[in-house]
This record gives sequence, structure tokens and C-alpha cells, in this order.
Amino acid sequence: MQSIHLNIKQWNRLFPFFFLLNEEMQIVALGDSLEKLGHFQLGKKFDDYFVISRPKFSNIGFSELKSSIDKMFFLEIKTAKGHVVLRGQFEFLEDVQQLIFVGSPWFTNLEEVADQAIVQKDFAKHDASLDLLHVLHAKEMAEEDNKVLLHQISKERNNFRHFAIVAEETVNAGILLDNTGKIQWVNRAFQQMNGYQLEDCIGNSIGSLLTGKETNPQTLQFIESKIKENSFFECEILNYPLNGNPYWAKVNGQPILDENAEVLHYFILQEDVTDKKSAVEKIRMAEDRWRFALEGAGAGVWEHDFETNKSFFSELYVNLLGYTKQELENMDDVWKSILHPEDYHIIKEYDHQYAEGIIKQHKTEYRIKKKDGTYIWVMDRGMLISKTSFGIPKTIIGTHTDITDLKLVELSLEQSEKQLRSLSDNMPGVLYEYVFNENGESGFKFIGKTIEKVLGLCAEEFLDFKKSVHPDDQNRLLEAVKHTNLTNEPFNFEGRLIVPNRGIVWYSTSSSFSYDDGNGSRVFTGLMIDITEKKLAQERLEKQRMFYEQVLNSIPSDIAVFDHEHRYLFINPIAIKDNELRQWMIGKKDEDYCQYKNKPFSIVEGRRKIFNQVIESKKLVAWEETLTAANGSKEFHFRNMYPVINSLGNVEMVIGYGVNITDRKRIEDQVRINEKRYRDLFNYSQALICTHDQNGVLLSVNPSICETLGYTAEELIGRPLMSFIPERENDNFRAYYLDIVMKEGKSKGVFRALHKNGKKLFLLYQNYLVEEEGLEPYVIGFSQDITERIHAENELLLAKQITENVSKAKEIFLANMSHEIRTPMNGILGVANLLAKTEMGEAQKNYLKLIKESANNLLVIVNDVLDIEKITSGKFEFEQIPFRFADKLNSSIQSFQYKAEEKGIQLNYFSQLEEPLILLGDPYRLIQILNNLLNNAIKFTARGKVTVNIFSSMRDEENIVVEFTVQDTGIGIDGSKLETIFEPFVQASTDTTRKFGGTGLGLSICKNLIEMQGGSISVESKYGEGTVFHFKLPYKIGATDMLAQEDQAPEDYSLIGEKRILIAEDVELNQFIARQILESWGMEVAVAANGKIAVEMVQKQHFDLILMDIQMPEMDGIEATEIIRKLDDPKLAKIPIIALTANALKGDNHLYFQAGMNDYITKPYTEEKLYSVLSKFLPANPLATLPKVEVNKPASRILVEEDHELLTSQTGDGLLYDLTMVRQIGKGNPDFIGKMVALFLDQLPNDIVKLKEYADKDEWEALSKLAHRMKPSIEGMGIHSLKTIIRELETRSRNNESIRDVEMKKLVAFTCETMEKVLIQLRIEFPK
Amino acid sequence: MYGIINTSIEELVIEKFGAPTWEEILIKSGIKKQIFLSSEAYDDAITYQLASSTADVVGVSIGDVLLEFGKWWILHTCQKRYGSMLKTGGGDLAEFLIGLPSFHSRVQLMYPKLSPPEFKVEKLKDQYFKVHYYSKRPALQEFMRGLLLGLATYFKVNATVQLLQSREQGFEYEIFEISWN
Repeated sequence: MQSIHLNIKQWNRLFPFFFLLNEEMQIVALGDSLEKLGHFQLGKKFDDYFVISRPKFSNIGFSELKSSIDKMFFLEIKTAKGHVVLRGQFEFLEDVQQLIFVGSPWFTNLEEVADQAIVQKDFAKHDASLDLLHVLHAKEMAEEDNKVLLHQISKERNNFRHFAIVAEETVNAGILLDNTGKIQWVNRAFQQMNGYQLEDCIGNSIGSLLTGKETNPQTLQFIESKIKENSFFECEILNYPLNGNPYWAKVNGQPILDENAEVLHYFILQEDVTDKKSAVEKIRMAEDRWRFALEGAGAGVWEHDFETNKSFFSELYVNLLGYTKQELENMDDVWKSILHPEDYHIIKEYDHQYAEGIIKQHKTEYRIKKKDGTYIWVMDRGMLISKTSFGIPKTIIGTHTDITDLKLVELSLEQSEKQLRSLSDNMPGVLYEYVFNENGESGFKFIGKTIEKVLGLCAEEFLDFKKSVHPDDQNRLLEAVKHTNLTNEPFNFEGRLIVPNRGIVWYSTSSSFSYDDGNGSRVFTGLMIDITEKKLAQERLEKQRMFYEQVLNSIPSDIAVFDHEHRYLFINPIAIKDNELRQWMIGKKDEDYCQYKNKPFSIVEGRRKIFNQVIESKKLVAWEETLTAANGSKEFHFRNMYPVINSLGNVEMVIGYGVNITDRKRIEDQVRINEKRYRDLFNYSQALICTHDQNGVLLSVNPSICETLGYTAEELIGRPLMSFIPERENDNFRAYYLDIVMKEGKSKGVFRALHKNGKKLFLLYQNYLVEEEGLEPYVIGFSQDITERIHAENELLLAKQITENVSKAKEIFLANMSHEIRTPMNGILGVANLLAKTEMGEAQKNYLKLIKESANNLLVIVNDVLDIEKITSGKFEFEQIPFRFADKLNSSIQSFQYKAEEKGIQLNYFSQLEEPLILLGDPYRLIQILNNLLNNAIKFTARGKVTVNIFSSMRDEENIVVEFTVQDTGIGIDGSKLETIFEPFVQASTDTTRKFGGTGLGLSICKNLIEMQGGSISVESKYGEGTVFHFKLPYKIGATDMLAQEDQAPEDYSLIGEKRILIAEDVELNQFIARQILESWGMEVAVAANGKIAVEMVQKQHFDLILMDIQMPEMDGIEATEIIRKLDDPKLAKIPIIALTANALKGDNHLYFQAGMNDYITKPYTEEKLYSVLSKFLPANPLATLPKVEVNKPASRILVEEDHELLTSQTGDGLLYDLTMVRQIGKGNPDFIGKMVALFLDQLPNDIVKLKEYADKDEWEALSKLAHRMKPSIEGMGIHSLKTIIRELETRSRNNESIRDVEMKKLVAFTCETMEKVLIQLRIEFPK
Repeated sequence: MYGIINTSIEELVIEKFGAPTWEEILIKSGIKKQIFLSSEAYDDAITYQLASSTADVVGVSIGDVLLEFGKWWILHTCQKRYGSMLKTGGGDLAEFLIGLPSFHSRVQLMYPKLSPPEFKVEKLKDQYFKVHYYSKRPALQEFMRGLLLGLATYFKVNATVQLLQSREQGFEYEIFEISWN
């Protein structure tokens, strides 16, 4: 059988809900979609996730499932969210011996799918289960629709049933015809009306059932035709029911249509109108009778038909109006034509009311025009007499009776009544009659209706008027009434009533005797008027008057009002404080007052004069008066008097008032003084002060400005500021000054102004914008003439420039000095070295030594000066290179060892740092610092010792801080000098220089070098006892492989081979030294005395390299190099060029490289340095050098490098010796080295034994001598760890210091141990 | 088209403008008041007539009516009547769009009288798709745009939809571009 293999991806695509079981019933694979349902883990058991709902199994195992591949399985997923069942089947896969389940989850609706977050893509494309659920859903939706539809239909059926009941139960006969006109159905009313049963009717036509002998055949025909046409109709017909008694029927017919407008049925409704018809007939007859009767009574009769809008009038009535009947009835709208236009609306309104069914009859009056144009008044009575079959009013009839006479009388009555009513209504008071009876009682007999209007009370209410009288008026009123009663005099009274809703009402009443009623009672007729308004107005006026008086009294001025004859009308209390006097004065003339107060006549006269002046001029007069107060002080009063003119133009009164202006006067004086002070400030100020407007036009200037600019104030004011500044700066004036000050409110700066004489001035200004309400903004400016200051500053700048130039010159001088001194020095030292190689007598050797020392000292001084210069100018640069710390230290201390010995002092050295320490930093500067300190220490120590201690205070994997102390037992430094010892050119004492020499720069340089490298230095000293310098320096820790080759000494200078070198150098001595060195290496050398010759020679001969001096006559090295680099021949142009420079200022290096040089060497140079630089550019010649390498390279060297491990493993330490010095001495000759080592080895074992012996026996003197003898060997063999110890042993033993010192024995033990290790190491390197 | 479309238009109009407006639209369109059966096919002309009368009565363009109707269809009609179908269509907008062609193939099977449109969907970036729309019916681009915007709202993203080409411009079918962030 062909088999198809599917991989898991394919299974997953086809059956995304599949899973695969192995024989252990573990799930080994499953589909992505199944994964979504239950969080499965591969390797877990079937039982962990599934329960088989069907089929039933007693035991579920692989074999059971394998044998059930023909069954349908329902698997419930235990770990699913909610209840999820997989429906599917198992299949056994032969090739892998596994069971696969394929199927889908069984969902009953879409909501379940959505709940599981399963989407359509999770189902295989062939899987229709989701679609089936969709179809199901669609069906559900359709069912929902059907339900809605059903509901709608049943609702409509119910409606229809209601209609059917109505049709069945109506009192009118209903007939349903089919579309052929045959009766299909009749209702109950039809059956009752006509006596037929439903069965009798069905199938018949209505005509055949209900026609009789008097039935109008045309009507019947009309009905039948309408039925046939399926159109609506309405008519009346005489029907004959079964009992033969005909009745009138009103018949309505209409077709019944379906929704497509097809006729379904024809429906007829019949109403029995026999009674109605006879009633109408009866009315008509009655009408005729009534009309006749009415006309007989002289009334015109009319009839109006609403349907036709026609009116009919009785003969008599027509005659009454003067028309013919024809004329009236032919009028288009008769009522409009004959009615008075003002009255037409009356009948329109009635027509409307009839039409609406509001009235059934009416009665009204209006005017009708007769044919002759005159109007008569008629009374119109009418009533509705018939309606249409729809109940709409159809006919009204009525009568018109001529009431013109009556109406005229009525109108004139109405008119007079109107007039009376108007009179009464408009009367502003209440008319009344008051009666005094014989028995003494009194009261109102009549009260006019207007009381309602006046008091809001009805007349009856006011009869008992006493309760309305204000309590305060009661007695007064009673008195007045009593008086009138007694005297019969007219009664006049004003008082208050308390009236509900109005409160207090003022009234005035007056009455007088009118008549005697004949019964002894006297009747007074009177009028009562409401005067509340008037009273209130008076009150308001009084209040106002008091208010003004109060105001006038409170004004802090004296005020008096006079009439035109100078009489006082009013005086306020400020003018006259005495109340009594003030009262007295009213009405008096001013003269009276003056007389009363005994004022001088002159005052009277003066005031009178002013008063008259006001009266005559009718204008205000003002003046000031000076008065002397009671305490003698002066008071100033400002007075004025002005007329009040009435409407006739005459002076009504004169008002005078005065103000005490003493304070104001004082303030004005103060202001005047202040103003003067400010003006003085302005005028006498040295500052230049001005104001200008928004456009820069000057408003004011102070004299300083005039003086400074040479103009008068008149020449300046009114002119723009701009015209006083140089013309080419005018453009800037607005942008940089005017706009800014106007916008920001202030501006300051310097501007140039022009003096009248044309001189330019510099003005420093600070200007402000002044904005005050009601004033145009203006700018106030303050400035200062700084012309001289500006000039001074310029001079200062010039001076600074000169200083800088001088400084630059100094720098150049120093650089030149360095060159000028170093070049001859190079010569001196070089020649001295060469001289040393020649045969010399002792004296010559001594002289030569002196020469070298002096030259070296001079070089130190030059170097110190240069260092200081570099430090102060910030040009100092530090190397950052790897170096062997111990080597550098050793060589430094070594060089002083002999010096110390010469002076007979000890130089001890202790280091706590392990040997092979590689540091990153500037080794030259470290040596410079140490040398300086050691030099000083040895220089200033005559006896005792100098001790160097080295240790580290901080160390991690990358960094170390190395600390050094250099301690001496020398002369020490005075405490007062300690603080300045590090300053340049300072020495401990003035005679130091004389005694010890030196520049005084050394310590300053040290301090700077240390601090510039991030370290620090300090000093402790006791005068006469010695000095300790302590310094520390931070370094990075390096590794051996970082050390450059050039750090090592060259083994063979001939390695490069025979090369042609051109030396471009003008100084013969230098030429000589370079030539000697190079030729000793086997080179061929040519010399050019300047750059120009060098360039020429390069083009003529072949050279491998050029050593180029920088400073040469004719053409310097830089120019020569530039020319060579531009040569056409590329070989020549590329020739290596090394600069030789005595210029020690490092900053020039870039110039050499810029010119195209390859490297540089500073003079004086060592042989090693020259070799190391040259070897970079000259390739080694293998033929020339190979055999020599074999010979020259010592075997020990190879061993050291290759068997280092072996050596050290034997002793457990690093290599304890260093043969550098031996090799240098022997110029690398292996025989010499071997011989030296052999001698050392021969002697060493014996020395170790002796050392131990002397120590054991405490023979310290012998030990000291032995140590002294061993010392050169230890140093020569480079046993650094013992260098200091052996000295310690020598000195301490000699001084017998150590007799009781166990420490000494330890030192001896350590020395012996080390020597034994060296012995082993050397014997390995130099086997015999 | 199936009656549910017409019912949905009716619901949209009544919700937004009230029942009297719907009556007016029916009168204007000359379509009798009736219950549209969801799963009964009605003449397309009815739907077009309803849309155009709605535009007339409400005073907007037919395009606007169709656009609003598209959104309404997703956010009201579908969510109310076919909520679960929407949910099983995809978990987010991208998934839904990718499933769109297959979804409509299924719809075609379920509603044989429907002649639903066909889609081809190009995924350009995670949130940037081109939807190729093949329909026998003319002038429903705005409806389609409304549907896409409605879907975006349904999946709570802010999308922009652009019509890149259309039959009106002489192409054979429409291409919409939908992107969101």
C-alpha cells in the first residue's frame, strides 16, 4: 500500500488541532491551534490534558486507542478555559509507531469560539465547523426576523379584526360586493333594515333586492355604473325592503384596494335618511309661515345659503331699503355692499361662529345703507335652519327691524353718560356731602365714586373714615370739625390717612355749607384731594436743602452768600463759628457785621468795593488776603466772589468763599526752593545732562553739555542729537540707541560726539525713558566725557602689545641661547670624549676631567634655565613611555655612588618595590628629579650618609603611587627658609651659591616636574642636622612586552651595514664627531657645510640618509629639506632626513616634520641614540651582519631569554644578577665576560663562608672589610638586591654599631642566602 | 443585497435623525415601508435608492452617507448581530485584514445569493496594508472606506484609509491603503 508521509508542519497546517502520542502515551507534538486551547507541554501524558467523554473505555492505553481507530472520539480538554470538547479520531502511524489524533473543537455557537479567542485562521481551510456555526448564526438571525414579521402580521390582523367588528356593528347597512357587483356579505344593520338574511343576499345585486316602483331608475343606473367603474359615489335613493315600506337611503360606495391598488371588493354603506328628510320638509313649511308672519309685523326677512353664498330678501324689506329685489339679489356680495363698512365684521364673525357650530342663532345691531346712501340702524335676529348632510350649516334666516330712532336716542344718551363718566373719572378729588345733624352727630351723606381711584377704597368703606385718620391728626381734625359745626364756616383741612396697600396718604379737603335738608340737618358739600405727591415733593425739597447746607457747612472754606444788596443769606460754620452770631447775621448787611465786630472801615470799604465790582462786572473777582492770627503768625487766605445770574440776566445773589492757603504757600515756597536746587544741580553738574524727545530732538541741555560740545544752549535745543555725532555713525543712531531706549526704557554705552571745533569726543552715556501720564514720553540722558580715558586705554593697549613683543623676543632669545650654547657645548663634550680615547699623561687626564665637569655643569645650568622657561610658558611636555623602574633608579643612584665615596659619605638605597616593575611615564624626568635631590644631598653633606627610601603608598592592578625619601645628614635648612626653598632662584643661604654653586633653580624645577605629573613634594629639615625630601609620583603599571627595542643597548653598531650618509652641518667640531661615530660603524660619510651644498650634493651623489642640522648659514636645514622633498626624482625626494638640533625647546618638533623630515635628534646625542634613530630608517644588511651576530651575541644573553624560567625555578626568585655593566666594560666581548664571571664564581663560595663565620663570631671589623671588598663585585655583577645591604654591613660593622644588633645577623643571613642563589643561577648560565 | 443592509440603513437614519426622517426618506425614494428580512435578497436598486434619498433628505453627499453607513455597519449592525463572527475574524486589525479574503469566501458559501466582493490583501508593513477590492457593484468605494475605518475603530486603532485607484478612474478594481499606529 502506498503511504504518504507528512511532516509536523504539514500536519499542523492540515489539522491544526492534532496531537501525537507515543507508546508511553506522552504528547510528543501538537498543533498550534490546539496549543491555544489548553497550554500544553510536550512530554506530558495524555491523561494530564484529556478526558475521553466518548466512547467508553474501562482502561485507556496506547493499545486501546490503537485498536479504536474506527471510532469517533470526544475528548474533553481539562486545561481549557471552560468546557471544550475535541471531536475527531485517532490513527496509528506505522512508521513512527505513534498515534495521531485529528479533529476540531466542537462548538455549539460562535460565542463559544470567541470565548476561546480562537479565530478563523486557527481552523484548517477544509474545516467547515466555523462556517457551519456561521450558517447556524445566519439561520438564527433569519428566525429573529421571522419572529418580528410574525409579530407585525398578528398586530395587523388584530387591527383588521377591529375594523371588521366596526363594519359588522355599525348602525348603517354595510354591503360588500365582489368585482362583478354581486353581494358577498351584508352586515347585521342591513339585515335588520331590509328584512333579508345574509344567505338571501349573497350572490344577488343590490338593485334586485331593494328596488321598488318609486325608486328612481336613473339613480339606480348611476349606482350600478359607479360600481362597475370602481369609483366613489354618494347619492340618495328610495329603497324597498322586504316588508314593502320604502325608506330614503343615503348611499356611499367605494372600492376596497389591495396594496398594489388592485380592486378587491366594493363596499357600500346605506343610511336611512327618511326621518331627516321629513324633518327638513317640516322646517321649510314652518319657515314660510314664520316669514309671512314676520313680514306682517314690519320686519324685513332675509335668508342666506352658506353653500351657494346667496341671500334672499322679503319684498317688504327690499322696499324699505329702496332697492328692487332684483338689484339686491344680483349684487356680488350683497352684505358687503349694503352693510356699513365698520359693521361688516359683525356679520363675518357670526358667519364664522355658525360655520364652527358655536352658535345656532344670533341677535345683533348694525347699519345698512339704503339706496339713497343714507344708513338705517337695524336689529338683526337670525337662526340656523338647515345643515348639509355632513352637518355643515347650510341655511340661516333672520329678520331686520329698523331701530334707527331708538338707536339715535341711545347714542346721544351714551354720549352724555360718557362725558359725565369722563368728568367724574377724571376729577382729581372726591366729591362728598357731609351732614351735621340736629342732635350734633355728623358724617358723610354721600361719597363720590372717585374715592376708589383716589384712595383705592369704596365709598362704603370710607363712611367710617375716622379709623383711617392718622393718629397724630385725630385731635386736630376733631377740633376743625367741631369748629365748622359751631360756626358753619367753610371747613379746610390738610392731614394724613392710613390707607391699606398705600400707607400714608396726604390729603387736603375743603367744604362749605350747601343746603339744609329740611330736617334740621346742614349739608356741606366738599372736595377731598390727594396731595401726597405734593407733600413728598416738599419733603424731598427740604431734605435736599438740608443736604446742600450740610455740604456747604462741611466744606473747609468759609462760604457766605449775599443778596444783591450785600445782605447775608447764608454763612457756613467755617466762616463764622459762633452759631448765635451766624443766625444773627442772616439778613444783615456786611457793614452791620463789620460794625458789630469793630472792623476797620478800610475793610468795610474794600469788601464793598469788591462786591460792587462783582455786581457791575457780573464776573468772578479773586484776591488774596494776609491776616495776622491771634498768636501773631501770618495766615494767607485766598478769596473769591462770584455772581449767580438769574434768567433775566440780573445778579440774583453773590457767593463768596475763602480758603486758608497758608500751608499751600509754604509748600509752594518749598517747591520753588527744591526746583532751584535741582536746577542748580543741572546747571552746575559736571555730568552732561540733557533731555530729548522720541525723535532724538534735544529739549534741554545743561551748561556742561554746552561747555563740552562748544555750543550755546540755544544752538543745541531743538536740534536732533544726530547732528552732533559723526555722519557715518548716523545710521546706527536709531537702531542701536533710539529704538532701544524707546523700547526698553533705558540704554547705555559709548558714542562719539562732535565738538563744534570738529574734535571727536567719546561720551559714556546712560539714558532713561521718562513716561508720565499726560506728558509726551521723553528721554533723560546722563553722559560723561571719557575721551581722555579712551586715549589712555589705547596707550595701555599699545604698551601691552610692546610687552608681549618683548616676551616673544625673550622666548626667541632663550631658544637661540639654547642653540648658541648647546652647539659649542656639543663640540666641547664630543671632542673631550674623543680626546679621552687618546694617549694622555695624568695632568692631561685631570685637565680633561675638569673640562668635562665644567661643560657638564654649564649644560645643567642651561638645561635648568630652559626647563624653567618651559615650565613658566606652559610648554613642558612629558613622555608617556614604558620603562624598567629598577634600571632607571639603579643607574641614577649608581652615578652618585662614586661621588659619595669620593666625599667619604655613605649613599644607602632601600627599595620595597619588587625588581621587574615596568612603569608608564617619563623616566627622564624621574631621573632628573632624583639626580637633583641626590646631587643636593651629597653636595650639602660633609659627613654621615645619604639614604634613599622607596616604597609604594597605593597600588592596584593598573596604578601605583611611588614614594621617595632622600635623607641626608648635611647642613640642613634654616626653618625660616623652608617655605621658600621651592621658589626659583632661592637657596637656603646667601652664601650657598658662593660655597656650593648652583642656580637655585633645581628644587623649583623638581617641584614643578613632580606636580605637573600629579605628584607632590615636601621637605623637613633641622638646621645643622640634615634634611629629608619626600616626594611621590603616580604611575600606570606597564608590562614587559611594552618595552621598546631602543630601550636596550645595541649589541653591534655595524648591523646596519655600509651606508652612505650625508652630514649637513656647519660646525666643524660637530662634523668631526658625527663622522667619527659613523665611520666607526663602517659607514661612508660625506659632509656639506650648509643646506644649499647639501641639496646640490644629493642630486649628484647617492646617499642612504641625511643628518641635517637645522641652523646653518646660506640655507637652513628646514628649507633644504623642503627643496629635497620637492625634487623630481622620487628616489631622491624620499631620502630619509634626520634633523640634528641643538634647539631643546620641544615645541619646534612639528616644524621639522612639517618640512618633511623623518625624525630628529637633540644635540648632544649619545652613540646609542644616534644608532637607534638611524636604524629605524636604514634596513639592516643581512649579508654584512649575519656572521657578526653569531660572534657578538653572547651566549649568556640567549640563555637569559630562553631559560629564564629554568634559572629562576632553581632559586625560587627572579634573576638575581644583571651583567649589563660587565658587558659594557667588555664591549660585549664574551671572553672578557666569561672571565669576569669565572673569577666571581671562584671567589664567591669562600666569601659566603667567611661572612657567616665573622657574623657568628661577632668579628664585625673583619666583616666590614670583607663587605668593602665584596662591594665592587656585587655592583659589577648587578646584584641589585644586595647593593645597599652590603654597604650597610660595611658601615655599620665598621662603626661597631651592630654588636648588639640581631638585625645585622639577619642581614648577613639574607646576604649569604642571596649569594648562594646567585651562585646557582650563574653556574646554570655559565656552565664550565 | 440582503435585507439586513437595508435594515441597517434604516437603523442608522432613525438613530441619527429620528423616525420621521426615515418616513420622509421612504416617501422620497418611493419604497414602501416594510420589514426587510436579513437573509432575503433584495434588489440592489432599493439599497442605492435608500442611500441616495437619505443623502437628499439629510442634505449630505451620497459618499458621506455611504462612509457613515460603512462605519455604522461594523460598529453597530455587525457588532450587534454578528459580534461573534467579528471576533472570530481575527484578534487584531492586521489579523482580520489578512483573513479578509478567506472570510469573504466563507461568506460566499454561507450566503449563496449574496455575491460578496472579493479581496486581495497585501501586507506592506506590520501596520500598513493594501486592500484590493473586487466587486460587481459600482460606486461603493465610500462604503468600503467606511467599513475599513469602522474596523479600525472596532480594533481600537487610529487608522487612515486612502483610495489609491478606482474603477471610476478607469482601473479594473479599487485599491485601498490602510495604515495605523
